[in-house]
Amino acid sequence: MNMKNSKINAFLMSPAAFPLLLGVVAASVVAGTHMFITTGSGAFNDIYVVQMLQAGLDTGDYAAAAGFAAGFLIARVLEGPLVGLLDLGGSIMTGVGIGIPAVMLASGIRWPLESFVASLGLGLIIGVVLGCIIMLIRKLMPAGMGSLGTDVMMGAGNKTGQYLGPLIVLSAIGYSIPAGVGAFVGAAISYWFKKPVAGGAILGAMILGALIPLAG
Amino acid sequence: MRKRIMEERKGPVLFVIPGMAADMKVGDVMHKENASFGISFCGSGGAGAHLAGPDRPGQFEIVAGHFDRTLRIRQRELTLCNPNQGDVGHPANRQAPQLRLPPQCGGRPAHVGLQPVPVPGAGPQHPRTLPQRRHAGLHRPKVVEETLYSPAAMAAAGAIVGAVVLSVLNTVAAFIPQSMAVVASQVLGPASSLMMNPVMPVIFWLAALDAGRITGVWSTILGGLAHMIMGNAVPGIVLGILIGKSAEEHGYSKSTNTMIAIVAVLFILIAYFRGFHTKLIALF
Repeated sequence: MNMKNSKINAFLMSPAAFPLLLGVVAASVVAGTHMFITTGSGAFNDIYVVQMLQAGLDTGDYAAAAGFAAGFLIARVLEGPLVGLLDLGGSIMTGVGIGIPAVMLASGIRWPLESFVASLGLGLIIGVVLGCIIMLIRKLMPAGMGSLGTDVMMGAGNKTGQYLGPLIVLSAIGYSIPAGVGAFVGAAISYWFKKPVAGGAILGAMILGALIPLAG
Repeated sequence: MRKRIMEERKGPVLFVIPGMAADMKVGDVMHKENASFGISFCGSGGAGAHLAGPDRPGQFEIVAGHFDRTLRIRQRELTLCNPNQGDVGHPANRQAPQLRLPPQCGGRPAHVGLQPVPVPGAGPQHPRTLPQRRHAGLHRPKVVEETLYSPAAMAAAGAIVGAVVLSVLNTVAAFIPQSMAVVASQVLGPASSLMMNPVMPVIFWLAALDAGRITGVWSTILGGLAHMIMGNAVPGIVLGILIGKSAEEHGYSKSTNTMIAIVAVLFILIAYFRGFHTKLIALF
């Protein structure tokens, strides 16, 4: 099976395919957000970003999610075509998956996010439009702009993830003593087995916190 | 941007992409030169270039090369090294399966029909090509390689993996007892709000300050404005890094100024739609 030079590959590698690919990605991410809004699981993002949307759903105040995620979207979409590397986490998962839904929910437009098919369509449209904008900026901007600090941002982005584990432990201790004990023991076990500390902390807090339900 | 560093004698041609974040450019250069492979000397996304200094000229991170058919077998035996490059000794590079560095790195280059040629501005040290029968690191199974270079095949594989993983994850999530889910969200809520503010802004801010004076100043100003207008400094800092780095690398050229103008318009628009101007007016 030699697909290397097939027609479909030639199309996939062409600039015209980019908006379409981005549309498919955005469609799946917005559909994931729809699943999260209706069933409580399925959003594609880091825990703390999804939690921001959850806070909006709980309180009706989407300002944090909309401001953070939509700002991120703009920054990443501007950066992508200039450096030739689009950060999907910032642009699609956070920007399109959390930011745009938060803006829509804040303005009272709920229906596209409450139907699976509509959310797929909404994501597709957003993705294709973004893809076209990115290709347009890329065409207008002179080539060879360099890395423009993408390495700096990636370094910071990776570091961010490391802070979540300790923060969960601190927050669990604030919630209750059993959850706190579970969190730091879980984090320590995770760390010993070279797994992400945040995962062990939240699992430990969930297990002990639910088994011994006494509010600290 | 790239320099041809080897004279073509029997086939192999190597190109070095110097400078910071050269790993970002390897795809472009490989495409342009029709290269058969590219090697990153630096596993940390650009950290190698930070080691560059007056005593360490000729920093590079990526080598792209291509080989004609008669040299196919040699391609697997190649080991590339630059004896004086600080980054080469990095443990991450020693562990990298594609690149093993032999102790002979500092020694004389063995002859495989190539001789290093001086590169202007790259200093006295140049990557050399050595035959190393023990280090057949560049070899990869043919089937995997073909899949990797076929976007359609990668898309199909990714779709299958994604569908399975997503179904499993969401099904598992449904099995988590309600009481546990309550604890999880009660614990994650404060942790994530701490994360958004102030942890993330501080990390991005410090990274921007470490990236140099111009970047630090732009990020500080835009970060402060963003925190006031959008409620979070991170997008502003990201834009500040973008503008600062662009100004550092290209000066205040037309493209840098265009970017500054776009960012200014964005900030004004966001401020307007979030009602920031009413807050300002309320001050007076």
